[in-house]
Amino acid sequence: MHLADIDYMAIHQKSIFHQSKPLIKTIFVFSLMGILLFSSTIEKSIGVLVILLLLSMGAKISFPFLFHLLAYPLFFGGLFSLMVGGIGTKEGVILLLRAIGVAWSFLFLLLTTPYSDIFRVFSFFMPTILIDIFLLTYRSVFILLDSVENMFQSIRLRGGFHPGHLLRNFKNFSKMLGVVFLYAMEMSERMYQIYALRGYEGKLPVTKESEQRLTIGDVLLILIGMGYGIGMVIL
Amino acid sequence: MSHIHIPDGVFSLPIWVGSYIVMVILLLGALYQMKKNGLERKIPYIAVMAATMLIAMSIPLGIVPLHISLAVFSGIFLGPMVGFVAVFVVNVILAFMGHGGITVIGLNTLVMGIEVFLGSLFFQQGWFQQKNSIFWRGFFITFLTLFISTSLATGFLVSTVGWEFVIPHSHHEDHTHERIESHEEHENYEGSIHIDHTKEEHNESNHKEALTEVNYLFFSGGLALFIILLVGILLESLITGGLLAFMMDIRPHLFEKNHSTKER
Repeated sequence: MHLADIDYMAIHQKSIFHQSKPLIKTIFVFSLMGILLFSSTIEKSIGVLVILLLLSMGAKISFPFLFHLLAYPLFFGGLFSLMVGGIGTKEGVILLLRAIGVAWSFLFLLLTTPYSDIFRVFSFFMPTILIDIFLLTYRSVFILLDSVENMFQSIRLRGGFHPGHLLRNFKNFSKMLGVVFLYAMEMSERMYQIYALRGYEGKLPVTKESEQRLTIGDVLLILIGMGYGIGMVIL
Repeated sequence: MSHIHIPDGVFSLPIWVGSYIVMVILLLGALYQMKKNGLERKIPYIAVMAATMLIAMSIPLGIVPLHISLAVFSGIFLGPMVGFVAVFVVNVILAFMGHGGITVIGLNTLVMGIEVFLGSLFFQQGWFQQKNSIFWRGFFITFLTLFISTSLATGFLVSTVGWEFVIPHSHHEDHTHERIESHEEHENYEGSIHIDHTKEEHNESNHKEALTEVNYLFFSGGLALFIILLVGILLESLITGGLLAFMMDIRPHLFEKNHSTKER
């Protein structure tokens, strides 16, 4: 799922949009999603995609990686647009642009914002218990990914996977999942004990934003958002 | 198994908003119950279960265009309420990565929530206990649960958006333009695509046409679709059964009959 790559880019890449405020980026991305979902013209949807393209260039996002991530919504969007009417029809094109546009918007947010900052924004409207679960899930995925890769390799090396033995493969696969799950459980128990020792009572402390000044990226996002909104009303 | 990969914009506003409202009510209820029963302690469990589900979902099954979800196992292990929270977290993260639309989170959580609830319910029932080995118990519970949830999800999709959206990885390129002309679509809210139900006969033939284009192994049409779903259900049942049997061997106390969610 490339979670590790996304996380690396969000933290280590430097651009004006990486420095923008997560709250402004989140509002901007949700606004784009709203425009895409409720727009009935191809031009408006293409306009959003052009904005996303320019923003992605400004954020120095790797395009091969971005298009790799977009392959999934592109495939399903294309498939469903064919079913609805086809690429040759207005509805088919809008559906395809919508699928790509919404996914691209959220990928822009993920690729320019560390996950802890995104969840901090979510804490404005989500219960804190859910934010803790999101943070811990994200952390657990990274830890488990390594152990799954190692486990896969060792099973292959020991002859655990045979093309002709489906049942045996699935038996080994479930055992592998069992080992990963037990490892994850032990890890979670250890994690809980550490948190409990440090005074955890059902709420992880989240750092608040101290910097109140708007950055160039923030101003740009606000201007683009407002400009596009006004343009949509006028046109 | 029943994770819906439909992108944004396919479902009409009432459907996705409605599913969001139901999901939020259930989620808040589950969180309230968790707090009331002092289950904050379960947060790390939910997180690792969600992480394991995400990883399991990213592993392709190979022989069918489906993936496992471990939602039934989540229900058995965490219980219905806590398991529901776990599937919500999984669906949000998946949607952010482009696997299923943001507007489909509500529906996906509800479908997987059914699997969590039924899995947990059947595991507590006497019918599946004692006589069967833990592998077969897990197998039958998962099979029955997935059969019900997949039927419900399929029925819902067919009744709301059509047969075409139920079909996994089918190809309709050749007949696209024929279908374009026979579809008369209108918009009930700006941007939402709705098929005109006055043309039901045309749609009926399109659905049949879409179904006949599904191919799997030596089968085609509705039978191929049924076999794809059945093989997917069987594989997840096998894996869940194997996983439960393995866990019972190593950590039997986790699945003791009277081991309540509260105690774990």
